[in-house]
Amino acid sequence: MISESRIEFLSTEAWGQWHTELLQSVVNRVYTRVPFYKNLLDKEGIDPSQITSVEMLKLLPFTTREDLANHYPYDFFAVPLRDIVRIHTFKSSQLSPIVIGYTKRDLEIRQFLAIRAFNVFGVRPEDIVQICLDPGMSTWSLELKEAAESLGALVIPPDPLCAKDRIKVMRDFKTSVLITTPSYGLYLLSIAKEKGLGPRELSLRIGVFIGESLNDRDRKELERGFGLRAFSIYGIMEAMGPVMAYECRDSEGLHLALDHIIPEVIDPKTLEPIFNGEGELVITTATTKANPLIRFRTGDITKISQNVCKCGRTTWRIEPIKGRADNLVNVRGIKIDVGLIKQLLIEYCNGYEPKFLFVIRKKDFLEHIELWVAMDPHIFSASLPELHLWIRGLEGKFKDYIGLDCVVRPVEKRTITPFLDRDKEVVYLNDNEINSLLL
Amino acid sequence: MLSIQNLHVSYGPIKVLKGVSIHIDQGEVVSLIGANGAGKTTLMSTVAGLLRPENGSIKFEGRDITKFSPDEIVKLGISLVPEGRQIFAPLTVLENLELGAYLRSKDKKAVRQDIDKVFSLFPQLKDRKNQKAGTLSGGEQQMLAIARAFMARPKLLLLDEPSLGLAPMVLELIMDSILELNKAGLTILIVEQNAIKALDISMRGYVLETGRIILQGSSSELKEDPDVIRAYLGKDYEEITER
Repeated sequence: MISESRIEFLSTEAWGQWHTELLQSVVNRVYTRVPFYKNLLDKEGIDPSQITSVEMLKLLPFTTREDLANHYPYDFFAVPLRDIVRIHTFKSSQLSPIVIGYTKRDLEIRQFLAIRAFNVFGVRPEDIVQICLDPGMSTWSLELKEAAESLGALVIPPDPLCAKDRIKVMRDFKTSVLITTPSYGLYLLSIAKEKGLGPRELSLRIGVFIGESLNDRDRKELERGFGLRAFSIYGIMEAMGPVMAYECRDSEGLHLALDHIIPEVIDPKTLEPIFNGEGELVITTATTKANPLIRFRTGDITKISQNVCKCGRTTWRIEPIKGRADNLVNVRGIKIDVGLIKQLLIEYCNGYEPKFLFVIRKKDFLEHIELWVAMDPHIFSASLPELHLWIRGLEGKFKDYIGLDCVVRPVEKRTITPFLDRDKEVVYLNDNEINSLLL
Repeated sequence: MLSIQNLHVSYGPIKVLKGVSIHIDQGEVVSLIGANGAGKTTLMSTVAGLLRPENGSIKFEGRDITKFSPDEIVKLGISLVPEGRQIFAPLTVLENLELGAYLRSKDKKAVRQDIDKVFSLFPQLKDRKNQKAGTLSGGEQQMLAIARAFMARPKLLLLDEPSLGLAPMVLELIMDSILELNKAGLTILIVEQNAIKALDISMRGYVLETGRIILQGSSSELKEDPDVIRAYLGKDYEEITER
């Protein structure tokens, strides 16, 4: 039998057979157990035995986040509720949240993937692992913590400390493995530099970066500034956990967990498969029991390489994510649905839809978000105290809905119409640009 | 070693296998479990060349054997131990074994060595070597069936429901001997209703449900899978009302 350690090195022919078998059993299983998929396949007139190979994936319909939310609570479960040991819930742009269930085995697989990556990175029992991730990534923090703990490492999970204190802990407890987003990593680095802490004063060996793409310039900066070796990992919230893909020591793309997923790339507009080109990453889960997903559209734009890596692994690699195909915005690793912002504004303004601009402001390496709302007699009164209350109320609702702190600014309509006229609801601006717009 | 893609097999108008794909690598023991009527024996018989598939392909060591006849398949090194044993009752144990090696009967020395090996694996057969096979007990007949298949010096042994009708202690013996054969280099595909036993001796398994594969994984994974436990491992499951 192919041992777990050798499965990443299978031949192309062997992968073909594995994937045919895995795809067929997933389709057979969802057809008989998942109401959503049975209905969809019946409607399209697709019989599971038509799926004779991975090439036939194109016959199968896609699954979107909206589908998941619209079939809350149970329509996507492939096992009875009593087999499910954990449920994660995510905000959606629809009326209901997205709910993903996990069996014991599903959780074991997620752990296994994280541990596999940690082993490749060289994480050892003697390591001290510090995880600095936003509360919005708490499910991943939990799993990365458990994976590091099962390797025997000392783990410092996310905490309510400020960055300066985190650096202090990093120095005093000799953190050797840092797990964070690239932007937060750079922010920590800037604080470390301020305090005169460099590779000699710190004990960092390994940096694991998640949530955002790590470009070459930032990688060099982090490696040089912290004296660590940087590795990227990639995951989506809806399946497979934080390590659906990871960089090997040759750092030429991220190896997908081909033993657990069947990936494709499609053109987000025509929905046709793309080979050897850039497009939206689509995932079919091969081993997930509770919530199997057929052709799930991740919304992430990337390119898949099927060539063998220098490390010998034959698992396909994805390039760092270039952007998004949908209207989710990635802020510090957390995906925000602009549709949800619109919805919350309409609710807050009692059915009225004000003109707004969602501004992402980069400051000190970190992204801060602001919501600029055009002043409108329908929603604003002349009274300053009332306006103040209105702003605070909206900021609170935003935090409640989206889970992130946001600064709400009432602005004149003409400040934002130039953007809205070009169909831009989301903009990235720096301090200078913001200042010149607001004055 | 063996790879099967999209096998469709029918008995007249009744579709039994509806697009089955599995594989077995050299040196593995792989089990195929499933309820009665799922199509397990149909699959074994098709691989052995006794049934012709309507669609799909079977490859053995890179060669397409889908349309091969049973004797061609035996010559290639695939040996079937059919369900219900089916040894030659009027012949003695020894004659049954010699018949198993029919295709190699010219190489008398090798055949002798193999008979000795079989007798060391199954001492009960040695004790009864001149007895008519029909007078053996169920467990002994099963040993004989396996031994006879082994005499063809197969590369791949197909075992169809070896546990059927056997007492637990005899079953243990049979299963141990299957593992011995695997250690000696035999690749084994075992089809079983007794899922626990099959998963105990195999490394990997597939679950067949009404002609389709619905699950696969390592045997340890499958033994812990709630669906498998409920359906095939016969564990009493306390009903909890659906929440």
